[in-house]
Amino acid sequence: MSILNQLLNFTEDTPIIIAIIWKLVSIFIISILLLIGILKIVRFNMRFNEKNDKKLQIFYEKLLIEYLLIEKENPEKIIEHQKIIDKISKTLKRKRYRKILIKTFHKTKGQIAGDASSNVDELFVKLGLTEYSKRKLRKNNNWVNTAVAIRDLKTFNIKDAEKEVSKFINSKSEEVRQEVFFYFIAVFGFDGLSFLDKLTEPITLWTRIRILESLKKIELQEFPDPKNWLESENEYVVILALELVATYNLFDNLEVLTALLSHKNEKVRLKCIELFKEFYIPNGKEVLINSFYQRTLKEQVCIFKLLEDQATKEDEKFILKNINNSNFEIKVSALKILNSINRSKFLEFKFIFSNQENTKIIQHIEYS
Amino acid sequence: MTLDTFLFYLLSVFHYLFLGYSVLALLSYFFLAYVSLLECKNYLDKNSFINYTNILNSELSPSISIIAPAYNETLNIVENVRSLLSVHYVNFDVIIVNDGSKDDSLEKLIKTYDLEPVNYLLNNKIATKPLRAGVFKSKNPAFEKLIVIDKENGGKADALNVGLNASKSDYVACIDVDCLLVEDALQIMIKPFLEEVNFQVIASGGVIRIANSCTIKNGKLLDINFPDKTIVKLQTLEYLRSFLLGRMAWSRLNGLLVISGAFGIFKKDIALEVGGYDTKTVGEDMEIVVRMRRYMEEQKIPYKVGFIPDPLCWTEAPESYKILISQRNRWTRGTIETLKIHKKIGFNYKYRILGLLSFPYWLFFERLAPIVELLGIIYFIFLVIYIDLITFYVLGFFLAAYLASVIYSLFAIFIEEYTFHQYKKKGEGFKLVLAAFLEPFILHPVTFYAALKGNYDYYFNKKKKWGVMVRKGLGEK
Repeated sequence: MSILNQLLNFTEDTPIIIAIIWKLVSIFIISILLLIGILKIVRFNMRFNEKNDKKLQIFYEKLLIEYLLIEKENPEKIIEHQKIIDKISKTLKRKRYRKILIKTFHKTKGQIAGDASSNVDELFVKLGLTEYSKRKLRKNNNWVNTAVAIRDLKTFNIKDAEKEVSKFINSKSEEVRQEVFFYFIAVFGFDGLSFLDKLTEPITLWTRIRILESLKKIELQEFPDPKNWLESENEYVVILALELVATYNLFDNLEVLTALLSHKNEKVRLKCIELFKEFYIPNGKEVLINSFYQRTLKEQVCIFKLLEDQATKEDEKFILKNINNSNFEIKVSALKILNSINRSKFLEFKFIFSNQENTKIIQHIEYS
Repeated sequence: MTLDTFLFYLLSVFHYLFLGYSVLALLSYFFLAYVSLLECKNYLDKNSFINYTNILNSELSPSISIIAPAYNETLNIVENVRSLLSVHYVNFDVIIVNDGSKDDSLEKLIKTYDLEPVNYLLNNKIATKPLRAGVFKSKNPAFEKLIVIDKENGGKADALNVGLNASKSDYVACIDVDCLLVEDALQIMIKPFLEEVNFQVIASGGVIRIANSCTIKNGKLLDINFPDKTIVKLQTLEYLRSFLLGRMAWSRLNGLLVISGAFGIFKKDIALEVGGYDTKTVGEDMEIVVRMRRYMEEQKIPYKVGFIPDPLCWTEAPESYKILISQRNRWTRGTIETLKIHKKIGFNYKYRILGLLSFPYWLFFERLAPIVELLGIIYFIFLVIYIDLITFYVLGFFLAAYLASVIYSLFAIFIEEYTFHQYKKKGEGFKLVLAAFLEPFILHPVTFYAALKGNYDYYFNKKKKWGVMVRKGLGEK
């Protein structure tokens, strides 16, 4: 007590700033000791959990493989199936165990196909894990939990969760939206793309890449008509639709595609020009040449890339107008095109150009 | 007013100035630490949903040119290039710019990669030093992604600008040729650019980790070890603090002013639009980021500078005090030059976060910090000589400053453990904690001295440029 009294007297006698400083020092010392303690615990826990998680994973993998190897049709084996289910169910009250079990399921699904994969889906349902996922969706208290729930429902093909999942199509979380998209695609195939009808939020290039990669896994099915998506108010849906057109050769809507060359959004126009470049689409070139000077620089560069493949002698006048374009890429493109459609005219420019840069470009094109 | 009274008031002003500065610095560090923790958690949560292999197969994946300037790198150039060529990405090329090397770097590359001169068209949008032997590509299809450009010596910035001129990709990854990139570095680093919707991502930086004492074979990082040498241990801690606490936080606030010159990705058209790297500054990595940000602010285009905390790039830290001082000297001069070049944005509301938060922070707590510290030391010496100091009071201040620094370092270690947990081996946790206690006594005085020297050289030794960075190389260990 006397030490405490001394301390209290000390703080009363010293200037306030010094007292604050020494109090801070005490807080800092305690904080440091706490932080070191926490670090020690964190490191220990990480090592401990890593070992434990591995053991648990092996335990679940063993049970899962046993389950998958048992013949479903054999009535005597149903009892063994049930024994495995009961064994696993006992561990599911703990969140960590559920997490590792689902992780094991994900891993196994990635390694098998066909009936075995369906059996894993069935087991997921029998263990009541669907209910855990749906509960997370209903709670919706945290985007991570919502996205994890949808991901699990997707991986295990839970069709009857469609209504709950579709509520999140326009979630503010990009990750939740992505999982919704992949759920619909994984569970319903190409028909699952119907979420695009309701989508009002953006789709990033990252998401589009993943959507297209997911669609590659779908076995041959008829692809739905993308007309509605090409005419969507959501420009990101339009862009994705253009990518779908390119990937699946969906050229039934040429008028719609041509109209998109004049879309209000530059990104849509650029994507459309790229599409016209990849695939020869009638009238596209003419529309682009006629509107060339009203377009942005990026579009103009893209148009010349298109013309490198599609230009003909009829386009020579237009090409000649841009031989000395201030943009380097357009200039190089124009000279390349001229070289391919009228080489003698191209070679004349060797003597016309006095500018060193232009001379280098001509030399490069001439000898490549 | 008597002289004594005047002195009393003058000393009081200094007291409160130093106290105010210290409190502000402390509060800002802890604020950044808190923001960084939120950003790390957010990043890790989002990362758990990502499958980077999607990007490996997609035709939509944007093209990237890896640009690596090289000067007298004969020791490891072949291995370093091999390491860059083995990066896992679908659409990239590697542009090595041999910046007038006096050794046989080019000859080694020609021989190993079967290179031949090619007729390559460079868009000379940025003026650079002329080419020397020219542009080379490989006859062997296995190395079709490799382009080697040999030019007159012009410095790192000039070499990077040649790379910008030569690149035909949408994005450029500018790296130091002797840095080791992990195989999926490009897949991970390009992600921020692929997530832009209503804003443009103009640049993305990554964490630079220290590779000293790590096991590296054939350009691949096989085993991570905490460094052996004390000076490198302390730098490891310093890097953790700087990247995981500092830059993560600034990225979240969209106030990041610097992307490490060792590894960063830029949107090529913006980098070209602003004129590429400034060859007159030694801090070209910071300067180009500030210039790009300034350009976007002036054009009123929504944008972001991203930052990825994954350990993707490993480099060699100086193992000698002399080289460390030279390096920090250059960093100081680079900071001073950049802030001076762009002083217009400082405290200017038109530049929003850039002008009202980032610039002032960098000015007061990075650029002026060594000056304030020096003035503080001088002031303290004056007090010791002329005033009767109460030891107990002085001890309080020093202890508070020291312990605050230790806490900050421990917090960085905590975030490292919580996020990437690279130093898993037994005993490494203890070494990290010990480093937190030792760093203020060992590394800080050296970096403080280097910063002062940097200030001196900036004002009185204008001829000083890059200095010599002698590296052992990240070869087989």
